[in-house]
Amino acid sequence: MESTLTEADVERLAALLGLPLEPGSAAAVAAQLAGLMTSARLFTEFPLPDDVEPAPVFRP
Amino acid sequence: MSVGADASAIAIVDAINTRRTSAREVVTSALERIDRRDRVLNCFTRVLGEVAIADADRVDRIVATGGDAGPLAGVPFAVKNLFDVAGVTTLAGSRIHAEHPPAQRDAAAVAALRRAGAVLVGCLNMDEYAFGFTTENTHYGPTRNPHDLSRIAGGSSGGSAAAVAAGLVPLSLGSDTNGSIRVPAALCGVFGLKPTYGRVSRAGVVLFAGSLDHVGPFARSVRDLAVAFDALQGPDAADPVCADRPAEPTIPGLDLGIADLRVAVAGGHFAQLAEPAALAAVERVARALGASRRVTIADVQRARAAASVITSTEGAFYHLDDLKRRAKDFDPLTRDRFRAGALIPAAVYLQALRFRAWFAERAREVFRDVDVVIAPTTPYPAPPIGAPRTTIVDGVEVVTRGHLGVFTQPWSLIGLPVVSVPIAGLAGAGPLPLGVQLIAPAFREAHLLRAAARLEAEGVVAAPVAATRG
Repeated sequence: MESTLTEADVERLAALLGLPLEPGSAAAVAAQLAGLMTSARLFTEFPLPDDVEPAPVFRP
Repeated sequence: MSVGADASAIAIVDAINTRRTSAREVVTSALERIDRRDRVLNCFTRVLGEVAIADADRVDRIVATGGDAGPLAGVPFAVKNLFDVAGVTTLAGSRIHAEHPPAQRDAAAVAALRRAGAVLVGCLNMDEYAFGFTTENTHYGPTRNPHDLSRIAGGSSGGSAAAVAAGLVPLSLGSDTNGSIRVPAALCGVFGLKPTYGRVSRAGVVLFAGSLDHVGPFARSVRDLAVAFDALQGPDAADPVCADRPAEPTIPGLDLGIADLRVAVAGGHFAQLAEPAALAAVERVARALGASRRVTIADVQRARAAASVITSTEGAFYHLDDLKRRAKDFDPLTRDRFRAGALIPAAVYLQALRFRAWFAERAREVFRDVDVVIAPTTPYPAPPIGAPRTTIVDGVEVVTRGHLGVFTQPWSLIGLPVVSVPIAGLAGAGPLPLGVQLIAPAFREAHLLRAAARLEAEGVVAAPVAATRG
């Protein structure tokens, strides 16, 4: 399922961060963010064991 | 004796040490080639004429007095313009950084090559802040592919790959976060090495996404690549993620062969959504390395998604102040992608980091039985500059530029070392080269370079200077 984000959603998120968006730019940012959030579901909805931790400094 | 555009780095070193030529003559020839050809190719954003000649003279003085000028004595090289170079403003492909003062000192990797005797002749074009696979930089213009001037060089280290492919320099440095060394190496038909994460210091480099950023060399021969890597590798306290382990030189074992290496081809994700020529390149390499076995790594699409989220989040964070104050000065090709990255929720970013840890363990399981895995570098040869947003591959519509990283992102996510080897003469690719990735467990670059050396010795892979068309 594709993530749906409106221009208003993006404007509110950007305001929360103090990130100004010039008039007319919210739609393009929303499209980019929707793409990222849609693909992110591939791992956010994937169950991981509880003991898997993020590596603050990743060492392979 | 003059040294031509096709001379390898080690041939140059030999010619200088045996007084058949001088470093000054070699560097002057390189500067003349750059002057003659780069107006069209657009690899360089800065050429260091006088400094390079002075450095070359220093090498010649050492050689004249019987001294050892280093394993790269007199070899001209150039670096992606996100490496600090003393006295030069580090652009990182941006207009914003053009306002910064010149760097005070060389990046660690630049200093390492200079200590090895190499002579820096300039700085190279890239995607803004390394956020792209094409080097279609709006501020500084696109870098053109030396094999076909109407096509992209790949990115984000496009200038680094094209300068080597065109024979302007035999050696260059780039950086790789999601494929930015391997993609342009493949599209320009040269060798590119993305070392293990933490193997080579990134001190003095403008980072893109710090938890994924690597630096590494480009060359037209495996031995040149190995000499450069040996000069670059080793611990450095100035880079907090640089591994605290001694350098492991690869040159002594380069010709040992591959009898002890277990080689397999990556199936599943790595055999889909690619043009037949890219898969044919893999088969050609697999045959030459005697790899009949297939391995499947699970959940690669999830890994790619995690890499994109980590990249976008970290990249946006580095530039957040500029995004707030002067978004209009960003390249239109990166601006909205950075702004979207700034808005990703923290929980999504942290879950991507957790997934990375889990996926690294899955890859370790695969590498218990295998020493080298083979996969395509890109799914197709270089697209045209200004290509449409989407293209059809294997009957599926994909994003033309983003899909270039479909086979490289999963490996850099978990920091594994990868060499991209160049192949040409593939049915369906015309005169354009493609690349094949050789992937090894962490800190096993030596295995990759031995396998690449075998392929080169058998004539399966090669990086001749491009015969420019278009």
